[in-house]
Amino acid sequence: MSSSHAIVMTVSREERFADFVETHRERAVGLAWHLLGGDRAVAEDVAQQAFLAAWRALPKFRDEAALSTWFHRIVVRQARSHQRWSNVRRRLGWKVADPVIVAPTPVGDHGLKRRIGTALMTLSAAQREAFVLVHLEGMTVAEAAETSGRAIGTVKSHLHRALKSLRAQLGDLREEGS
Amino acid sequence: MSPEDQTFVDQLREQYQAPAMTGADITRFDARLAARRRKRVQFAWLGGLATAAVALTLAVGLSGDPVSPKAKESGHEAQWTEALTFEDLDVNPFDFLEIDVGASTEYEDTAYAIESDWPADFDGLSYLIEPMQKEI
Repeated sequence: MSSSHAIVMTVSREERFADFVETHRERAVGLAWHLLGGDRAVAEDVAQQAFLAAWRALPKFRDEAALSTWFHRIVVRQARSHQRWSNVRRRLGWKVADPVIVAPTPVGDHGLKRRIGTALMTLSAAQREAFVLVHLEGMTVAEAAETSGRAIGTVKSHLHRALKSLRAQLGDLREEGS
Repeated sequence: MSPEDQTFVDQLREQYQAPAMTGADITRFDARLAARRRKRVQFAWLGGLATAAVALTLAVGLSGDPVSPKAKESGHEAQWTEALTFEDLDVNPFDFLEIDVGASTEYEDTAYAIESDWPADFDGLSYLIEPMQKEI
């Protein structure tokens, strides 16, 4: 028996999960950050919730390509759920930290980020998801449709409306950014 | 997408990037995630307990003899309830009372009832029995 066959590599569930977190951590937090208007603490919280949700089903997964899409879908759902609960709490008058503080006179890069974040948060959840997944996360429309659980045509429609709304709100971005 | 839109989107992507995680951020993130996982595992039995409780309640509810006052009622009791519930019902509940209570509680003195059945020869001896009956 050759040594390669003699040594059986047994990757435990813990090790696999640690690798999974290592691989997807930055992207998950970034995606949540984009979806939630640039709030780092909330983005990390949502990403952790997504990892916790993924932990149970992870051992069943073998297809690494599908794994990525599956996990991004969990992040999107967690962000959606967080946003929904925030809206409910706000309506009930409970204290909710605003994800974005509106800066009327944006200064420098940070101010511009806030402005963009605020503009994104004015979009509907579906429009924001479509825009973030395709234009900020670099997914194809088909990938974005699969990740957000919507039809391709619907995602295209949301993309169009989101772009129109953002251009109306951030029309002066070119002058400001340069 | 038009060239203007493409430029706008490119600019937006460039300006709106999530800040990279530092080593400290990653350590904090992982520690928090591990703590949350531990917490979830610790309290996982609560979920199991709740599921078992629901299953048990359903099983008892479906197979057991439900303790319902309506179910225990039968015969005239049910009619009583009906009569009391539907006030405009053309039923006199006291009819049931008379029929029911009268039938079940009518006093019958068996000692005297059998007296008439005694043979005529014993009539002469009845004075010996009467004092005993009075004592009773």
